[in-house]
Amino acid sequence: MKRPPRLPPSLHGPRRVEQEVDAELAFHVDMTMQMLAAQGMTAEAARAEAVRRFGDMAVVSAECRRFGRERDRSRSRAEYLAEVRQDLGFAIRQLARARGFAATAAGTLALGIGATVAVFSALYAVALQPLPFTDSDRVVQIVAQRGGRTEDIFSSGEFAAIRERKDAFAHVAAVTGGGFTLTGMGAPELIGGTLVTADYFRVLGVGPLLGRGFLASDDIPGAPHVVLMSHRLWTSRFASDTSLVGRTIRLDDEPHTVIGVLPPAFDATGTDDELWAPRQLTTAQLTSNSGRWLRIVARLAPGASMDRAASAAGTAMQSLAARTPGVTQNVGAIVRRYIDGVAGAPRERLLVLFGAVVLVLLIACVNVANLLLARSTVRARELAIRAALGAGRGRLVRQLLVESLVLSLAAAAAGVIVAFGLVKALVILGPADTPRLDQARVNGVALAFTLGLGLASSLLVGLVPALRSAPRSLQSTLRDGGRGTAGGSQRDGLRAVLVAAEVALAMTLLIGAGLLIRSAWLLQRVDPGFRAERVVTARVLLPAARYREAAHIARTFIRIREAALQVPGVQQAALVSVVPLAGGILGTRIASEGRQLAPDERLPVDIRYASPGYFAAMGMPLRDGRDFAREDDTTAAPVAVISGSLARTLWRGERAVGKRIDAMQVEHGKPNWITVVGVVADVHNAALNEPAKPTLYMPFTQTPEGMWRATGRSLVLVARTTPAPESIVRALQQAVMTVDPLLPLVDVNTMQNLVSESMATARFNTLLLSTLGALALVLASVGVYGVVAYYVSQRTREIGVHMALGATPGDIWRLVLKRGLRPIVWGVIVGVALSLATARVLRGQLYGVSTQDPATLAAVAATLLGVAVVATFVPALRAIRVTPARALASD
Amino acid sequence: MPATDRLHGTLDALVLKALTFGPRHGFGILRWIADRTADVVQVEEGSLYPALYRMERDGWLEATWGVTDQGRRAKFYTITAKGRRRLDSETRDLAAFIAAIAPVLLPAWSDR
Repeated sequence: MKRPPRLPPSLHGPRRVEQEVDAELAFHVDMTMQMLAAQGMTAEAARAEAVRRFGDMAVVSAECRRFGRERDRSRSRAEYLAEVRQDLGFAIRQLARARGFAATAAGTLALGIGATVAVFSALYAVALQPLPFTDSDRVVQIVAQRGGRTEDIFSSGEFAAIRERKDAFAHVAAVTGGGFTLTGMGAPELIGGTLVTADYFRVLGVGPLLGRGFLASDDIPGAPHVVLMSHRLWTSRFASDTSLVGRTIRLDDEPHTVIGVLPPAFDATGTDDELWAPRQLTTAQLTSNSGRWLRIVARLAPGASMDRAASAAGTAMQSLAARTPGVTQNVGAIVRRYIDGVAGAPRERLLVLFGAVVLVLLIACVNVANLLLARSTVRARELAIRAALGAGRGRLVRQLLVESLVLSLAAAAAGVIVAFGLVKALVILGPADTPRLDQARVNGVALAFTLGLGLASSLLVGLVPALRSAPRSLQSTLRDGGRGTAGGSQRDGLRAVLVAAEVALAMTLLIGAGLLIRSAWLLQRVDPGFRAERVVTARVLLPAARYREAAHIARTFIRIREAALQVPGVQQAALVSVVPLAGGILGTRIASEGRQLAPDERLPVDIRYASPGYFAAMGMPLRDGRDFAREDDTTAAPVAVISGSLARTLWRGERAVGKRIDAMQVEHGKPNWITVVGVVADVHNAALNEPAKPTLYMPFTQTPEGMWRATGRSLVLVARTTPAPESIVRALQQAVMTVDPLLPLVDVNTMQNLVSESMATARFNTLLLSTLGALALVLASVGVYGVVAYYVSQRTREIGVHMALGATPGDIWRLVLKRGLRPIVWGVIVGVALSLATARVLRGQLYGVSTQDPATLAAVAATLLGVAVVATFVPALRAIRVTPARALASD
Repeated sequence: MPATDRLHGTLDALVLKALTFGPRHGFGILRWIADRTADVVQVEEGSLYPALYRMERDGWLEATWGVTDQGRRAKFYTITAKGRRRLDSETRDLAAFIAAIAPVLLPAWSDR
């Protein structure tokens, strides 16, 4: 496009259009006047006539000014666009010419951007994207606070009381865990599921894809058995058969009518549930405040805040507690978003990871900024010439910024490709129990985020170099630039600061990685309290329909254990309610003989029911006393084996065997004395990184009837084997089927697998953070190398003079090393401060090591310094080889 | 086509035509039109100058400040390529307009 010509300088300025119009119209009047005068008018008459002919000068000039201003506006817009186009074309040509530089810089940024986008995609899928519920941010979970502790279970009376608070909650539903044994379709199969009150799906705001949801009538005790099914189960197990709705399937040996199928989106809510049946509560239960077993979810009433909901639920609980003797009055409620319960812990880990990749990206940005700065030195002459040809400083800054923008956007585009690959890897390698991780995609949100990152990094990498390199005054540039040392020592200083920043960021990241590595190492060495090798575990569930009486259940399990003991290769077989590390813990509160305790002061303990031989099968050393025996049944006095830590807590310095504890009261306030017959080693039951909790073991043959209901009439068969444990699973299943051919073995696992699974998340995080730390280390050492190499190349002449004047190679060595090490030392110091300030975020993921572990700090600092020394080594070697003759020739 | 547009278009066409013979200032354009039409068409200053600024805005004209034969500073207009295209289409429209109304209003003229 042809450029419009510029107006003369005298007419530039804020009043340009006004002056232009005035001058032009005045000229016209003058010319008319001259013409009239030439025709014989007097000067005065001619002027009057000229003005008269013109008409209303003010109106005409106003109209001209309006058009003039519009003209100027569109002209400056066009000029600006043309300039930007010019800058873009120039930037692309420049970068194409310096291909090596452009590829290095864009590649570095692409790695950083790609990693950041990948982690962002995972974070978005797991923690940020809303759940597929109607107004999902109104769905909450209620958590109880009792005597300063929090727990997520409530009594059925509390549930009923909270449900009454219509002012705070639109819908309230209770949930109990469990599962169903599906029979009548080949081998019996355990399918995950929950019992929920009828309002559950109204709380979540999810309607069925097929059929109907739960109705209030389904909640009434004695109502026909109905069940809702997940889309996943419907497609995988029932071939998406629409006629299934209305038909019956056998669950836990009882016919259940399938009333509906949920939409596919509901599969993606981070639970393994496939079936939902109504949790029917009797009137007696709805008024009882004893026994806490229900989790509560709710939908906030329109306009109700989380705080108001929490206080409403708390008030409901308090007024119920006031009417119930023997329970603590110190109760309250916390309300948290439902998604926080689904994604809380993984979100924290992902945020740490996100912080780490952002650090890597920052380091990459600093590296590229350093590259740009080095390049601008090379380009000083070009910039000086452009300045001499009339390009303003603003124009040159913009030109340089456009270059870094082109660079960053190219990097962002490449970063998207990197991110696609990394997200796939994250989904495959990530811990299997991270909810919704499998939904991680580089989606529109992630792409928008990438664009934002690209723009932000273009400013980060470009702004300082652009401001620094654009010549401030022509004279100094030509003076300096003419000799190819533009910026001089000032620019060296800036580069040193950038390197220090880079080292500080890398240091922070490496300390985080170091702390996690140390945690993983310590975790590996934790004695779990049992021997995991060659132990196979499998759960056996007795269906309620055929196993009702406690005695019948106990007898069946005794026969199952005996059958298992007969399997060749089985050294020891036993039964337990829950194996270590498998979750699903039951707890109670106990007191010891001779101590009067209020209900709140009783000691919380984990309880496990076991058969004789369990400690031997699990490889748990018996410290004192005896194992359970066949004779410890309902006809005998109740006995217990306790963990070492419980023995120490209750009777420090005394022998625990023979003492009595009060636990599992059948009738409130009436002690139920149990005699301790043995003490067994502590076991990390919940997780290896959590301390062993005081544990109470009781013989399953003395299990109260209520406990069988709570555990779903199930026990875990534990077998210690001579051959590999996997090889005898089939034989064990056959042994169980000799007792009852309809009993499935579910959750078959090995203890070794449970141990490694319990460390999988920690190991994965450690792996990721270590990889990022290594990347940071490489980037930082490249930065250090660059600065020192540049220093040497710029000082060749100076070094030559030093050498000519008698400096030894040792002197030169020290000079260069000092130059290289100074920013590194500063970086290390700042990095230590930075990590002391930020390592707190890691606290939840560390084991056995403090966030300020001096050994880790020292090791990381030493590593960084070592790498930095190596990075300065090569350029320093070059400096020593400088001869005076070569140095002088270099100018 | 509304009459005002026709009028507008005719003024634009006259101004553009004036400039096809070389750069002129506003007064010069006015004189050129008066001379060529033997003073029949009297373009008013109040119409001319806003038209000039409008056409400059639209990129049909370009302006430069120069010096007249008498040594006075004046704003000279030149026609752009876009302006020439506009002149062509304006002329064609005008011809079509005249061809359309001439048989109605000027039967004698069309007979000729």
